[in-house]
Amino acid sequence: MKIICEREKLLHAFQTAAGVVPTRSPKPILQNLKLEISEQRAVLIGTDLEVGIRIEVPGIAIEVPGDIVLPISRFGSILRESSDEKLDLQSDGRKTIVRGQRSEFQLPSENPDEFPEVVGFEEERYHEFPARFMREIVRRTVFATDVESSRYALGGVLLEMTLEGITAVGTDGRRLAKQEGPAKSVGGHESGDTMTIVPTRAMQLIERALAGGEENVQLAARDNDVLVRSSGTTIYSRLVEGRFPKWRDVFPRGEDMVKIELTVGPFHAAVRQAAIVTSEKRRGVEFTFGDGKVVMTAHGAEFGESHVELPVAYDGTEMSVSLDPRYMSDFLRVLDPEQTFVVELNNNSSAVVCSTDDGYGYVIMPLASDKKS
Amino acid sequence: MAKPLHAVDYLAKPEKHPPQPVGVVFGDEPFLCKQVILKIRSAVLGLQDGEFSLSEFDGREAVLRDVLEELDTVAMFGDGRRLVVVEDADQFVTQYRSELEDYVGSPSNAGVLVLELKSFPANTRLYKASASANALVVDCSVPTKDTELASWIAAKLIPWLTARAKQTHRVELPQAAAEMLIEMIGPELGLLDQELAKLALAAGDDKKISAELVGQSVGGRRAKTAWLMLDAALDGDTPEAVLQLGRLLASGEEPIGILAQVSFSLRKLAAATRLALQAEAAGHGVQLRSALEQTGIRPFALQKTEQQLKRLGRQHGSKLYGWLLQADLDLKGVSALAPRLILERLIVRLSCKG
Repeated sequence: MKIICEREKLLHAFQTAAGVVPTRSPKPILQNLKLEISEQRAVLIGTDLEVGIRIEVPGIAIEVPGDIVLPISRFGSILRESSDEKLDLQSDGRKTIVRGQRSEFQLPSENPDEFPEVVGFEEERYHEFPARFMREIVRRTVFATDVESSRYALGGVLLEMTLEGITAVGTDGRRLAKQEGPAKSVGGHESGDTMTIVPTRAMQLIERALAGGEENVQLAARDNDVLVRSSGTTIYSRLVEGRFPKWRDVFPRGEDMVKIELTVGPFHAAVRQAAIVTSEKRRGVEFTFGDGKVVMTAHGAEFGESHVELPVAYDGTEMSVSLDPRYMSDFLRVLDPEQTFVVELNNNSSAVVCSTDDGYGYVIMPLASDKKS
Repeated sequence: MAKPLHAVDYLAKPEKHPPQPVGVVFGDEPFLCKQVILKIRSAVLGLQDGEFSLSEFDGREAVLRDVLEELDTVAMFGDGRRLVVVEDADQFVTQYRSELEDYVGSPSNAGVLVLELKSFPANTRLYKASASANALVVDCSVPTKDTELASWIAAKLIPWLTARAKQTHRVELPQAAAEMLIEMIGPELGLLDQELAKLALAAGDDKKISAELVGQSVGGRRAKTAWLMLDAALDGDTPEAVLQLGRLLASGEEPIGILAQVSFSLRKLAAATRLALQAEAAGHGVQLRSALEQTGIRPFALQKTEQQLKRLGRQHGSKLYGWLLQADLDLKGVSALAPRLILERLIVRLSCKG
């Protein structure tokens, strides 16, 4: 195997693929990336057996095809530290030689045949939609998932795919984020009764791999795994096993919900101010809507009290609810400061719903303890 | 001050003791603790999506802030309340004693906190605070003194066992059969329940377990150590090995502890296989018995171990290290399989003739 690669391009692909490599593994070969060189292209492959990635690396002149296994830390350091524009790579199966203009490295090499296979995207039925929408799905739902608890199904994002579009849902049982939008179903691809729960880590990898691209994404859900392809990169992930809760039931129904329109930037600033004095024991901020304003108050024995007001277009019956300001901030952080959203509330023990006009919905459960004592 | 409710009394009529904002389940009988928590769980969470309102914390690592955060937030799924169980909570209580005393006096109305403890001394402020807050305190211990034990068996254990037979296993267990079963098994409720399940299958059309059936079926075969399980597996008796595994788990043995015990013996078999294969590859044969001696097998166990290794075969013997490593890693979180399944898979591998 012998190639000449453009260092910057290989480094970019290497860093993206390294995102799936496990820090510890009973299979040491997984702490490497495999570079598959055929006559036509070079593909960089990484996997931890749960999640896998294949990236086509541009800027490679192929002299002799073949496969090579590259150790993450050492080869990654060479790519980072080198200042050469191009690097020569060659392998005789036992060692890998990396040559720059004034440098040469010899690295021991593992057998590429022992590297597990990562499937490519060969599906005929899939959903297609802009990469921008995929990034939005990840950014707006992943933060609400719960990767630490024993409720494994909550450690991923549920994707529901119909002929018309995609709905993505993440929840940790205290708040729930839902993003929906149009997507083209190719070959009648639908999720049907299958629960397509994509692990949070895989969703984050997808976002990183798509960085900045404006092309389309193809997403195919199978019984036990999901494949995502976009401009030369394919990500494979096993699905989270388990049953996702009935998330639609979480959105309160009924006409007695009060709806108030707010602008993200000023509201977020006010929430952050009100939260300054919250403590572990009293985490809640009381949101009181009425009389043309929203009043946010917090009081903790340790850090004093806060009282922040913001004018709003609401003069109806006074409504009050205690919320964890971090959960409200998490929602506001993923929105544009100039954007408006609608907050819907009913009483102090019912879920608060925030929604935008671009298919984003967010439910926060209120705090109970701050009403006591 | 009133004595805590005993688990068998609670389990007899759980509906009489609805969950309070704080519950303490304490004692050294793991089966009873598990049963009590299951009842509290179904009472708090109900059906449907209630399971998503359950949070379980390991008391050795749990942080109070995370526990309170769960308790303070109105439940998103299920019947409206959260259930937060802190398992193995003795260290947690020691670490956050004063905060917990405060919490018991003014708990959240959105969640139910259950502390699972080994002991709950009556002279602590937390105990007193729990009593004055009407917390549900359930004692899951079995008397250790012989004098107390005899009367406890008659007054509590036999009624519990007969009720358990009827309600869970759908069979009748007369007092004489119950007494005999306890005599043979001992006051270990997990093992008793396992035997009951087995006897229920063996019961005739009248769905009655007689003392005679108990004598025939139970026959004193009581698993005391993991060695019986390992011997059964290496002898190719998979059902017996799985049964012994079930007994060990029901008696409260930790899966990782069971693996550690059997690994001690299996590593010697693996080493003996490796020695034999290395000698063979070098062109000079080696007696299996001599290889076993080199690995430290004691003389009295040589014959039996040699037979087991021959049965296992060199191919499986050379895979032993890998199997043990995989089981160890899987139990430490690499696999999503239940610990029992991981151990059962190892048993099946050992039982197969090489």
